[in-house]
Amino acid sequence: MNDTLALNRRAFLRAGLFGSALLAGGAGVASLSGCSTAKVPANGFLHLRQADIELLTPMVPALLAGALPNGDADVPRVLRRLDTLLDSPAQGGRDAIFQLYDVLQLGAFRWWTMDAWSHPGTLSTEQIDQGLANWSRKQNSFARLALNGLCQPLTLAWYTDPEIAKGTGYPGPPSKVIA
Amino acid sequence: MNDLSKLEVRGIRDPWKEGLAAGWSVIDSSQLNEDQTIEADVVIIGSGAGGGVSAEILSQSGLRVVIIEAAKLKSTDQFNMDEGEAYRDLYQEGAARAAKDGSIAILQGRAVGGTTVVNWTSSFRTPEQTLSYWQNNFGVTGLSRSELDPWFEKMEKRLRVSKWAMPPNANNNALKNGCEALGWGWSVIPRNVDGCWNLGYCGTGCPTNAKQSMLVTTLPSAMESGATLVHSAEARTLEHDGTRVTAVLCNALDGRRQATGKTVRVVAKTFVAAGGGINTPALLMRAGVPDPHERLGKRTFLHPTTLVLGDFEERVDGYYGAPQSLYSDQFTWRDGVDGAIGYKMEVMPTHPGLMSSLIGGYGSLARTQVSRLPHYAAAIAMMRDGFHDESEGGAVELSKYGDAVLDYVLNDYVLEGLRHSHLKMAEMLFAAGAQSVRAGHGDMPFMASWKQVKELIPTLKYAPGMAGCGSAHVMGGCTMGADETRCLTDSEGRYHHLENLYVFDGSVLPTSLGVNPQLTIYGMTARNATRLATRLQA
Repeated sequence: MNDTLALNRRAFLRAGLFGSALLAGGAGVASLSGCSTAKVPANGFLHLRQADIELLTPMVPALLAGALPNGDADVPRVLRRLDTLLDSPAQGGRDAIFQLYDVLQLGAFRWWTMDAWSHPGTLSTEQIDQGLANWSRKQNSFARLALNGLCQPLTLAWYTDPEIAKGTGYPGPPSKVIA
Repeated sequence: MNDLSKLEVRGIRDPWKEGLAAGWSVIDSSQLNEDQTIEADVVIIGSGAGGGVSAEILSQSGLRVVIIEAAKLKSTDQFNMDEGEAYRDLYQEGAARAAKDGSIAILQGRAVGGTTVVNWTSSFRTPEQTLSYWQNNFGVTGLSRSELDPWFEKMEKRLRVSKWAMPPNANNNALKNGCEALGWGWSVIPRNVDGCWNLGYCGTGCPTNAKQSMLVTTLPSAMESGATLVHSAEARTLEHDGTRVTAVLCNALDGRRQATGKTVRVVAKTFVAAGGGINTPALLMRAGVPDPHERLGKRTFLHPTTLVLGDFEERVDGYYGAPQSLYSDQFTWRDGVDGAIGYKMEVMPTHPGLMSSLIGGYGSLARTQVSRLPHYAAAIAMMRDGFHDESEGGAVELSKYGDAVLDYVLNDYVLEGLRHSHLKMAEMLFAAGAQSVRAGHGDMPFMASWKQVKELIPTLKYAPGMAGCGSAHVMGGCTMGADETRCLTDSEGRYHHLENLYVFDGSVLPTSLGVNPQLTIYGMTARNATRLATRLQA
């Protein structure tokens, strides 16, 4: 346990010092941290691993607050769409996203960004929202790049769903009728 | 309220469906059961602005042309205006391409027809200032504006380029109103369209064939002249002996862009690299072509682009109508050609997927802002990078998988331009009547007066990840010019260090342009491909 914590701290320091290099394809934190999540996709997913799903499931209602017409029941659909979106980037670009999910598994990283050591699965949506507010106010380039890396793929994946897109007031595209 | 959702687009022909039925030579590599070797006089790697124009000219001159394209063939019948589908099928990395540190989102096409299939049709001739800068600083010859003008004219005619004659949509009109109120210059954008329906879906593949992209113009013409298209084939490397290239080796890709294990090898006498910025340098790097001064991939430019949203009381419906029809050059040369970074102002369409991710943030605040989508005018400014010692652009690298990665750092020189453009576009949108304005910066809320914005923006921290930045134009990475210590191709696109390799795409540009790049690439390629055809026939 002590070893794991020490490794976590080292990984956290790396994240702070070499943050952008890390997000961009440097050494994987998961392998450093000793809390490495399984590398295989979760059952039924192309890329998202079980640990990513456990991490993101409690965060999505806070990240996409107001944009889930069926509330928490929409979370699996959000994750499906995210998973599909993550199929397109080059492997190197996809690695960066998964390094972010890996580093978010570290209490030290969550403490630094969200002022909350605990895994999101143990926090309420309000607590996560507060943590994200702390993160979004950080005047640190790496922290903000990481927050964008968490939010933007989810937002793009969700709002390209034609039904969700209409919730913005966008009436939708014309229809194409094939001759 | 403007509502096109009830409109049906019908009665549109699909030139590729007809062409395939008529026997065009098309190889879908995803379906190959065994490795293939093909022979050609000229192989063109990439089918965008450079590849399309090259294909038409070279095949019409009687040469046997093979066109290689990584994307799967997708054509008019399949252009259904669905945003998510378009990003997945028609953009590099599913529209998730970004600078290495994640600070700049890069929208670049990946299609049969390349970026021309998804661009917003703006067609400008290269500014004289830019061409003179290349001549004076890189020894580029034969590309003065007067020498290029006949080529621009030829391509404008070929691609039906003319100033947009219909009224602008409300999004573009906001630019005009703001500029007029402030006494700033503005003008009408020339567009490469023929019979445009004014729908607003240029970015998802034109559903009506009005946009004169390579997919419906030069490529069909090349196919009629006997060219072969090999699609779903990603060029991975070139076979060469250090003086000549002998073949290009491609991986066949399946519908998920994964290598199927089958390969296509094209043996040819002449090779044209036309994969565009980022991808052409990456191919040449993988191939280990001679690069004695380590210039490959260097000086890659992006026109780093900022966004400012104006919230209008009335609906703007910026997702409908010709996406770009007006522009302003008020600040393009604000400090001369090579001083502080200048920027061209235009607007961008506001389709919900892209716009919500650009609005950024999370939670209820993001939702509140996204819910005003129909009321936003979206002004953008594209920075003219590459004209200053502190603007060397980015460098293409290869990931451990051999894929292209662009290391582009937003430094203080560029960040000053981001801040300046935020201020000016906010001023413009207030002058146009916006009730509140927000610049694309993570620490900026919508604000109700120009005075507030003017006070806030100078206090914000401008750093990667904090100031939003995107790119829709990738240029450079195989700089042309006479100075071999700094340049990789000559002014006709021939690679300095290999006899039979030519680069006919945006990667030869020594700097960014200060205008949307398609017509520059069309015109220069028409000139260079015509010269190549003459040389090969001699």
